[in-house]
Amino acid sequence: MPLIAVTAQGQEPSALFDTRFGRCSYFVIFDTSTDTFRALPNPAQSEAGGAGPRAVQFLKQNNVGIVVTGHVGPHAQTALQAAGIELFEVGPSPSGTSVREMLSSYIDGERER
Amino acid sequence: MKPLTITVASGKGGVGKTMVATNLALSAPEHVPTQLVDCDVDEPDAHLFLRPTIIEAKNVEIPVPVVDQALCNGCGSCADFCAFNAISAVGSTALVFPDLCHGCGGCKEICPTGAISEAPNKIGTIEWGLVDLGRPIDFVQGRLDVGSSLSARVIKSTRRIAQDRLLDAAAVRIIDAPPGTSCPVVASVSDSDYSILVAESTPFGLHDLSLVIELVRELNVPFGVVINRDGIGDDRAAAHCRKEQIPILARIPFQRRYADAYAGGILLVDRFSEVARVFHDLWERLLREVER
Repeated sequence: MPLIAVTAQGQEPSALFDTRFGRCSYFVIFDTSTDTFRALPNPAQSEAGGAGPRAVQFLKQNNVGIVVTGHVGPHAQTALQAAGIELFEVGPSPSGTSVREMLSSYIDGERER
Repeated sequence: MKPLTITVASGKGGVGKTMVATNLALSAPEHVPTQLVDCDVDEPDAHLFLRPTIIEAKNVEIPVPVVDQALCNGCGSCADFCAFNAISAVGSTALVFPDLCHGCGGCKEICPTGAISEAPNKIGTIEWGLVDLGRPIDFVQGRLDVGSSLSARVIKSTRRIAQDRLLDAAAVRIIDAPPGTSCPVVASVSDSDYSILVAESTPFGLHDLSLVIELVRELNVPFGVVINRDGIGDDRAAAHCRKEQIPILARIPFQRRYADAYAGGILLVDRFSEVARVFHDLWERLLREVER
């Protein structure tokens, strides 16, 4: 499975999920083949404009293939498509959802397909 | 030659910029050619009161990049260069987001394969015409397109057209600026001969007045204050002006009937003789201030 990025408010899988894409604090990136993760601060977080496309570029540079987030805007959507990154959009999530829970629900959903 | 240019600004929104600008235009000294330029391009509304006959309109355009996919090798130099993330290199070729572009042309210069050319993208419209409310007033307004953020660009184009339409040094040009203290206000106030800052005497009113005072000082434009809705709040705006030795040019009292008339699109100087006197005195005061 390709690398999976989950938008996060902190640097751990136990951190809160961030529903924002372009302006999330961190991307927690999981490699399910080795069961490892790393957290990268989102360089687009405080861009004046175009945070979405900038974040997509960052994910592409880090070889991410799948992104799990709350909601993406039209610019980010176009950029994700061009980058060939698969999008899993969960919408407004219940507050208190962790990054790990979001990853699990994505993986469970994939298994059921 | 350049007419006397007076810009009506305010830190806070909704304090009466357009009210002051439109009534000021209508009460300008007789026989002085007058022009009203609505630079509040996000939502120009002076036309609601002046009801001009628009005779001509022009699009405001900026050059945005167009990528020749056959020449682009997806190197990403353009994306690295762009400060606005308007061009992205995530796929095999560069991807353009025209609505994020500020039209600087840098991507075209930097592209190593010459894959980028430019095409015009509309960001707004400028309209102009004439007002005939007892006296003729030349009228120019800019309007930013929905979804664009380049207010300052539209304002600069609007002012250029206003300048071309009225060159008479004996004339007056009144600019209705947008609220706030950011780039669009700088674009509206820069190179004015004088600025009228409209304020209301409330805690927020004084806070935002202080900010716009800093701005006009930075721009080296002489200025004075008009206190609108005088009687609401307290005396803090006037006290601040006294302390800073800023002239208070006029006070317009708060009256429910003024608000009623204004909401009906009526120019106050047309309806209320006491307001007409305030504006008459404001003009005398203004001309004295400008001479200094």
